Amino acid sequence: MLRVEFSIITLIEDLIRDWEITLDEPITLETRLVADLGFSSIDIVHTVVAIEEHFGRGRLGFEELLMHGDQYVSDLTVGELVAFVERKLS
Amino acid sequence: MIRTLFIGLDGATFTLLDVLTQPASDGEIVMPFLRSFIAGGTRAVLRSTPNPLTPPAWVSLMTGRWPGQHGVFDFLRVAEQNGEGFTTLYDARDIRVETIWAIASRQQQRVAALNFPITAPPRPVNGFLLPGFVPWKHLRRNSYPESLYERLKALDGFNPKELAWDFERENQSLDDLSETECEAWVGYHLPREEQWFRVARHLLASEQPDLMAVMFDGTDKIQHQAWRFLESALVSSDPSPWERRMRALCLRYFRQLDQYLEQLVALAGPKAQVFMASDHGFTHSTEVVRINRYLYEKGYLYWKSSDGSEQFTRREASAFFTHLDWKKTLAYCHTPSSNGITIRIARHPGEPGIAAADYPAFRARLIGDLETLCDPHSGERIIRAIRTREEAFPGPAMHQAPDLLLTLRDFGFVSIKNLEPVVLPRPYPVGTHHPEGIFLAAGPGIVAGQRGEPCDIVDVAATLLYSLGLEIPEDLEGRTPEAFFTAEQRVAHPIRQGAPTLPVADGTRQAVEASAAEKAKIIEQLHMLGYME
Repeated sequence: MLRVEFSIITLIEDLIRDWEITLDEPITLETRLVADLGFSSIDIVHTVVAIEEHFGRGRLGFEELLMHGDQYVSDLTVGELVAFVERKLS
Repeated sequence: MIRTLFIGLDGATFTLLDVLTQPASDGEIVMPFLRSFIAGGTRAVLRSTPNPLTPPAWVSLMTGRWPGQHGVFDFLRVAEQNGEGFTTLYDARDIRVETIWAIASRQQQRVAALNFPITAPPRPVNGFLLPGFVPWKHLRRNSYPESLYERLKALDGFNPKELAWDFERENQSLDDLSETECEAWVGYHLPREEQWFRVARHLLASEQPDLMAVMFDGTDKIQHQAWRFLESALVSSDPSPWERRMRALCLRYFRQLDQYLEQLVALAGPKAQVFMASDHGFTHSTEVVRINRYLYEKGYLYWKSSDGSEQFTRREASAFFTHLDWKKTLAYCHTPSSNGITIRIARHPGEPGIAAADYPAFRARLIGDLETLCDPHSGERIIRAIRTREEAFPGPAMHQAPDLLLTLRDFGFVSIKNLEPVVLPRPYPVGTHHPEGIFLAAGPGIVAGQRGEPCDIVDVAATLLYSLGLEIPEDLEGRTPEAFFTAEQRVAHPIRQGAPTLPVADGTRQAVEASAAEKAKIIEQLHMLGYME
């Protein structure tokens, strides 16, 4: 499912291209949305919608990724996003 | 050629506009253009959606359908899953029916729709769409076509940070707003509106779409924060220097808005029909009504005990629905802006909630208890109206609506905080939504100097389609107010009903979640808009 990895990394690169941030390293599976890219909560909301729109399969149920038990996660890696989407699309 | 210009004015009300279009004590007319526009056309009260709230109301205006048909009820939606409540943000994919942008586009009309809520992610149109309520960082990807954003960036003075919702700025609590911050809040909307005006002016002049539509929302934002400096009855007769500055700043905003209206109407040209409408009106709220606290005292709702975590503490501060004990709670209000109460029904044995068979009796008892919430001094009911969802939201989307819709006696939004007492006078009146907005029309074929009968917000879509020369889809719930138009216009261009709207691809949805942080931020934004204590 390299296609998903490529698509999501490309999508995030496009998403942030006019955010006026400087990245020391390219985006990889280890990149953290909040800690490394400075995502705010609303950025994650829009990223989720953008991913769902890109793959055209409707809502993917991201609550499974963003909730652990009754706690919400505080950050996400690109790899976690990719693995989640791959699982949902398979 | 521009046939139809539509200008949305979020939260605009005759209560205020009738004052601002008359000479003040010093002789000044704050909105002289609007005064002449109203005098030269037709005006009517525009009745909002059952819950007069920005997302459902604008979507009703854009679709000609009530919320039970179009499916948008609030900013946020709560979906219960695995015994927890998940917050969902409504977006364009939730709209179950065609918008006028789509209806006009598929009939070869060119459209431009700017700053309307729930239009992101954008659906293709024959023209341009720049959504409202989207942060600047996401504006490019949510522009249609995406090249529009690059084109706008080339405009002199275009600043997406000023144009879009500044979520960081709005991430402040109303309770913590100092005089300086309040002043800054009003001032912040001056350049924002200027940005939207420039975009509208550019597209009007360069593209001449058949339907040009732009919405200004500073009216709503400012009125939430500064209503006491605007409503004549509330303006202090002996204002402090700060109060004087606040009022001057507010009037400056409306003076500036009037100039935008004048320029846009002039650019549209004398052959264009021009319509203006608001999604709801405005008034002031004088008390806090802690509805979940009342449900707790009546035994319908249970609070969750603190687990000592930072996340719980943060939620405690925002006092949102997830403080509830989901195993025991039977009825609750999920967002202040909903003014609604949700009854939990156990779908399977062992699930929390009431049995489905008990629903009618349970709901009747709940309504009875809500009716007994009264002012201890006057005996007046705090909740002036309680409507079931069959009454308020009939349609295929009704099951997503709250079971009960409350209208408070002062039209305020409820609080869901776990604080006592249930009803508390506010230290000063705050702006809140009123169910009666405005509908204005002027231009060729429109009756001048007329006060029309009240219209419904769903009538706007039918009116705009008629103005474009299109048939009105037979399944629209709104109608074209014939009396707005001259006899000559009606003879030359009779109102024609046509084929029903087309189904939309999305229409239904599964839950899209927001993290706790997302939810907190959104809640804080709603704080700023006055939807919370």
